[in-house]
Amino acid sequence: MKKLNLKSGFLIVISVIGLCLPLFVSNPYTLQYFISMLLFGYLATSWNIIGGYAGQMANGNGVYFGIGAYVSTCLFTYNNLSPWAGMLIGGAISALVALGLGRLTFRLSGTYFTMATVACLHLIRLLVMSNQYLFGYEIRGAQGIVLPWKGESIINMQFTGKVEYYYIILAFFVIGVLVSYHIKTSKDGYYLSAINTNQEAASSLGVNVMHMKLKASCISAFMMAIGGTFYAQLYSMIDPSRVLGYDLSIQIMLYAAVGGRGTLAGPIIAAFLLSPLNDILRGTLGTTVSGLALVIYGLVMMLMVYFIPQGLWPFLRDKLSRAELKAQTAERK
Amino acid sequence: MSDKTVILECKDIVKKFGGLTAVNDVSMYANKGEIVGLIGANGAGKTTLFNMIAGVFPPTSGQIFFEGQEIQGKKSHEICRMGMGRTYQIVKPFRNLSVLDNTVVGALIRDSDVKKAKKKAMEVLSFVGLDHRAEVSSGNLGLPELKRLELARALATDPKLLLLDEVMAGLNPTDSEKVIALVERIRNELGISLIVIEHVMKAIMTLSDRIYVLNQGNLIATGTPQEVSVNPEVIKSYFGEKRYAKN
Ligand SMILES: Nc1ncnc2c1ncn2[C@@H]1O[C@H](COP(=O)(O)OP(=O)(O)O)[C@@H](O)[C@H]1O
Ligand SMILES: [Mg+2]
Repeated sequence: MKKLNLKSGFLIVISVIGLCLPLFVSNPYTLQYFISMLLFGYLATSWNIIGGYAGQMANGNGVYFGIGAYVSTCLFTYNNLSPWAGMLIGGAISALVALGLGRLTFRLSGTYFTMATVACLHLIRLLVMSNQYLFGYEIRGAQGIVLPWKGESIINMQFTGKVEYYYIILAFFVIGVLVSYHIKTSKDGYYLSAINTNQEAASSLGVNVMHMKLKASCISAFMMAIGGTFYAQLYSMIDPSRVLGYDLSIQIMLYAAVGGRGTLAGPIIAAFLLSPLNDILRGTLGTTVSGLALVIYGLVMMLMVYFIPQGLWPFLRDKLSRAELKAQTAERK
Repeated sequence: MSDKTVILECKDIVKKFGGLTAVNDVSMYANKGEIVGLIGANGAGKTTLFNMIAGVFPPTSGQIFFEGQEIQGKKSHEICRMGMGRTYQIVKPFRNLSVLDNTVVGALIRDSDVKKAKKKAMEVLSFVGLDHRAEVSSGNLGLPELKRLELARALATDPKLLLLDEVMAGLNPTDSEKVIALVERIRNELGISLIVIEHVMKAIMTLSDRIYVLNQGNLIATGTPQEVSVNPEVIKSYFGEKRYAKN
């Protein structure tokens, strides 16, 4: 009971801080850090559904981020379609691609799925980079698309300031976490963690392994794509190396791995700690010694993976429950 | 006990792995309410036969009927849903999950509601005597408890027929006795039919209504425990070469 109160109290405090943050942070550059934190928290949460809960290393899952960004941007730029509708279409297309990839590779060993997602990412990036037009849309190859300014409005998801973007990504983040929480605590969550450890045993207990993996993969792809649309609207420009780069995929995956794959909170905590670190390092060191920021960032990641391989959150949770146990026994004495 | 309706029937089952014929033209059946024993030396093809019945892979040829329905080629999860459970000779716990959650995974097939599945799982755990270990991570269990967990998970799926693959292997005589009693309770109290693979001869002789003997993929004898134990071919090929009487 006490633990429950502590938990809900913590959640309330975090929610209030989250909601009121723009009141205290007026500097758009600082607010940008928080937007980036939330975006990466959202993306890591999305990745975690297939990569963590289901344990399928979707290393190239950033491809859906890119598909989402390009689909909604093309529809917005050339068809005047609101990004809110465009992101659903981008999400649906991403889910279909995930379905196809899964159908082809989930029957084989896990490595094939991993390679297929990475190959798909590279393939689509090359396709976008080397074509000026795709499906009749002018995508301008490696140069990318600059989104036209269509006037500040919610429908256009275009704003002059950052505050609105902050609240949109906050909403996406909260919805993402709720989806993840629902999956984890429902039948699907049990089935996915069974698949994660032993597919054959899961199958003999009535788990439709193929179906569950496809479901997890599609949900994850859909959510990633929506992140892509948000990114496009936020920066008003996209190009293949940014939204279809392998480094983005790796970054998202690393957050989940460093934080604790398969836990709800782990990927979020890691994204919240490491994405600002990345931004700050690049902001301060990027101009003095080129590359140093990346070296330090990489070193921090390596140390974390080396010293707490089980992930940051499982490690902290373990320490917390031990401290609690100690306190309890001390009380009894 | 047995009302003589056939629950499972295998007709002319063959399984080839490349050049190796692991199961060669085996026909067998199990009646409702029966405990059927399946014995044979290591590599005789017992587990392979189970894997085909439970849908891990299809037979190279032959037919399998479960409650009159052809099931060869169906997937494991479909066969489980139809009412067949199985345990693994090499235990396969979900090591990241607690004993209770392991069992919940099985219970969820009959009730998608996690709360109800938990309740059901707890009942099954107390039936097999693991309820006091419910919250322990299955990665921390010893072999006797892991074998029970295999049983609990399979029971949680509400099977009509249960396939047990060497649930006593590696247990000491005391633990084996307990499992024997448990298997009898599964049949008598829950009304579940069983096919039991076992190396512990005493166990299989006490438990089984009928026994099938496999040798290098071939069925060499069948009958009551008494009949089988005096069959000269069985004595020659099984008891003669390898003495499993003391496990
Ligand atoms: N998946 C497989 N691939 C190839 N050979 C197999 C496979 N499974 C079993 N075998 C072979 O089939 C034979 C029967 O094995 P198995 O059914 O495990 O025997 P038992 O359970 O009676 O000890 C053995 O020779 C084994 O090596
Ligand atoms: Mg075997």
